Amino acid sequence: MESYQRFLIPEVLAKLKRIDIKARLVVEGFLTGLHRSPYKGFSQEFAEYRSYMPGDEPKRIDWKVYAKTDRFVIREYEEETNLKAYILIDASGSMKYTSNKITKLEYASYLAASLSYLLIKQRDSVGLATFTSTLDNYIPPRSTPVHLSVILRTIDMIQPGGDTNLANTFHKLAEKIKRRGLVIILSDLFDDKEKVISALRHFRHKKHEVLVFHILDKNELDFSFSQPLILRDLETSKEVTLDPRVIRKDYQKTVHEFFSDFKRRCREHLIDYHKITTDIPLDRALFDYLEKRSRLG
Amino acid sequence: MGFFAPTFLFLLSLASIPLIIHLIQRIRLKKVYYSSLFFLTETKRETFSWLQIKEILLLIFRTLFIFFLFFSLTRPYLRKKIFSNQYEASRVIILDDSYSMGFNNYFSDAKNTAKKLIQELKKGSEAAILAPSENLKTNLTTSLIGLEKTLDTITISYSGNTLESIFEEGNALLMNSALPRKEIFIITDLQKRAILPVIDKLSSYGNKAEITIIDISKNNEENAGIEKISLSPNLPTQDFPSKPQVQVKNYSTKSTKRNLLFTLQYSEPESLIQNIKTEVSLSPKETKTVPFEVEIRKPGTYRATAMLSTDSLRLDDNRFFTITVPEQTPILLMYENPADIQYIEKALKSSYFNVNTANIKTLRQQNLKRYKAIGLFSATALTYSDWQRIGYYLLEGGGVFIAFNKEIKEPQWTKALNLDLSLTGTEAVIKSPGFVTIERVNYVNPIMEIFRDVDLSSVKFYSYWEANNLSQSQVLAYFSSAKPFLLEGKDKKVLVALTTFDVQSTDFMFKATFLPLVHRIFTFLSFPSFRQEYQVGDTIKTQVLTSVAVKVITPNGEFIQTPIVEEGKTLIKLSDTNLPGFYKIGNESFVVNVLAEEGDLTKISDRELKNQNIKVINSTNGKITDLSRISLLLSILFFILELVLLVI
Repeated sequence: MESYQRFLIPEVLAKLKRIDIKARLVVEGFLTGLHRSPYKGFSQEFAEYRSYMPGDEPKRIDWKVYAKTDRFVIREYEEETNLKAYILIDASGSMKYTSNKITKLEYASYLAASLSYLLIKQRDSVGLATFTSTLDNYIPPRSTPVHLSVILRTIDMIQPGGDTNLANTFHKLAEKIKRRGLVIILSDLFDDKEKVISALRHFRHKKHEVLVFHILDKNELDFSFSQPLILRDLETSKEVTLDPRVIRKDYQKTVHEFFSDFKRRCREHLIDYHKITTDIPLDRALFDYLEKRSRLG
Repeated sequence: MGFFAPTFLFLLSLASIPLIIHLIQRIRLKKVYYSSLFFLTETKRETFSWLQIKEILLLIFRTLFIFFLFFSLTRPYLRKKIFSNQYEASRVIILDDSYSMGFNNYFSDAKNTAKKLIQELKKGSEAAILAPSENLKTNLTTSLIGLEKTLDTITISYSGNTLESIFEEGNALLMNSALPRKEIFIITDLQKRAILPVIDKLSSYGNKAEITIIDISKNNEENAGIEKISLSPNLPTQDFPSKPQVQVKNYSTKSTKRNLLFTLQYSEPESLIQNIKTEVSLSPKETKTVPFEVEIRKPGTYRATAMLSTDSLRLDDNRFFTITVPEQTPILLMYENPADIQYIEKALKSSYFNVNTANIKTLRQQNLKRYKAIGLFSATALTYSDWQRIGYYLLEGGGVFIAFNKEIKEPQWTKALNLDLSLTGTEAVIKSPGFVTIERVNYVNPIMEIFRDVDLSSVKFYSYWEANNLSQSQVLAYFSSAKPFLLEGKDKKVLVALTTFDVQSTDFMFKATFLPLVHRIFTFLSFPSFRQEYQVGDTIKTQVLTSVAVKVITPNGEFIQTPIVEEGKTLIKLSDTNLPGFYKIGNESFVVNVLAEEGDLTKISDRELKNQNIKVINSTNGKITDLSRISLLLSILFFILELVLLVI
């Protein structure tokens, strides 16, 4: 494993302090791997040649053309500035949960930061919205490096807590975002399924492309507690005493049915849905994004 | 409800363990923050409900499992009320403690019934408890709680006493009571031999007190026991050694097969002779005699124990036996002419007798106490005072054999010897055509028993004395003229032969039967004069030759006892014989056994009871139901239920 690529592992990344470094390391690590991937060269589309002018970096001179024509020309690439991406981070109490070393919110933050970094690097505009039961932060999309630092700082300062009201928040955002773009949702989606789907449809109705990263802890899928215990809800503080061994089967069945149905409903409405657990390396999500990005053209 | 083992009651507190564990678990239950109960609330509500119910059921089953397990250890019981109302009365409770009550748990049932009878009395009542073995005898008392406690101390006796004498005592107690209502309760197994004497007495009893019999028996009494240990032949001699035999009886109506262990040993020095185990098959009601191939011949004291493999009534399954075979026995033969004893002397000298001879005229100079037995072969010269002297000798345990050669001059001699005998003639009778033979023999007698298969009719008697009026004496053999040949005094220590052992009178001396007969006569006479076998509760009475204290050994232990003088004899009386087993007073050995008949559990018939109009309460009235087994079964049931619940 190359030195950059180890930063794709969330647990390794959690040891770093600064979010901008985290984002850069993730993307660098991701791109290092990408050179050997089918997505090679995707991010920069050739546009035209122009004559070399003083001030241009000598490394940008196309030496093959110079060999043929004896002229110094610079290879120009088309800039993709037409994509506006909106990253929506769920910062509700349930995102605080972890059975491992990093919480779902931390994972969502790393992913959001990495995506922002990648988007800005590709000259796309990135906007950010964080929400709990209400919309907490909203940063309109821009593509400048300065904007990236604003976004990263905001991500770094997210404080989890409160209840979830996904559908309401999504409806508000759908109304708020005027220009069509790519809406990337990072959430555990613990809310009424029908209402959430309805809200996602709202985005689609506004002609947005929607990419949902359903972020979960592995234990939320397996329910691998071994002893009887009291579970306290991180959002509502309600408590349930239970023996996990007894209800595990039923729980897993319920969870499986929930995700299958959610995935199916998303597909019906042309929404990209990706279930991700916090133990999965971050490049997986980045691939999903790039795949979506490639489809957008 | 009561408890036979209340000391275990504290264990019931352990039933709270599952509840405590449950509560501790709840308190110490790990609290985990979880993202959302979103999916848990989605999980079927029924699952949670069932889980909660299951948890509660498990807790209940576990608690009940432990509770009933320890509850069974306390041996709980339920007791029905005997009477619906409490009232004031003077109540005598006769608690049958004869050993037949040791069958199964009869006695503990009887004690509990007695307690109930006391508890159900109204305040101001008085009660007394009497047991036929006299292990428990109280006066009428109003301290009923104390009386109840007294009951706890009583254990079953080894006695086979019937109930009539204790019934009379109870009746006498009630006569002194001032309370108008008088009652006698007899708690018994209704064994026929115990209760029948009471029933017989009741016909002339009148209505002095209300009598109720509480029957605590069941109807499935099956029992076998040892009736006796004996020797065959009864009298062991050098030439005819005896073999022990054990008589076993099956009292039940079913066949049974038992192991019988017989142990024979010398008592001094103590050494095992033989230990034999055999199996005995007994048909219903069968009595079987089991012989053992071991000889009792040598002088010394023998001890034997027979043990039958136990049944529900174990007290009659053991029996003890002892016999002392005399060592070199000193005897004195007295004659007028030496020819009178020549054949007898020869016959005895060859055996283990230390034979001394003397002229009968020297009787007054002889110290008779030195001899175990004396033989008088000419009594013509003896005066009444001589006969009185012989009478004292008999009282001190000696044995006397008399064979006439001439008429006895002293007419009162039979009175001096306490003999019920009169002679009809003054001369020996000469029988025509010349002789008589021996015809009828009492083979039951230990002297004669060995001649059962021997022809004695070849013995000829040419002359003999005719004797009559023998109502209290036992005739051991008759002449063919139907007159007695050999007779035994009623105290069994005087034997009289109505003939003279010379060639003019008989040819018996030349017959093979002569020697064993003479041996057995003198062995019988010199055998210990005391009784060696007693029953539980009897008083052992034995003469000792010293006035200083003697050592007494009983199954309870050893002690020293000083003899008493009674009717000119120095005696040891031992009345504490409540335990069966071996006893020893000085050098003499005894055994105390239970009364074999008490092992017969045959109940009195309903008809016999009805005829006397006696109120009989079945054991189910006031009956104690032992709940131990039910409790244990419930414990197992709850354990199984718990397992089932864990599996599903």
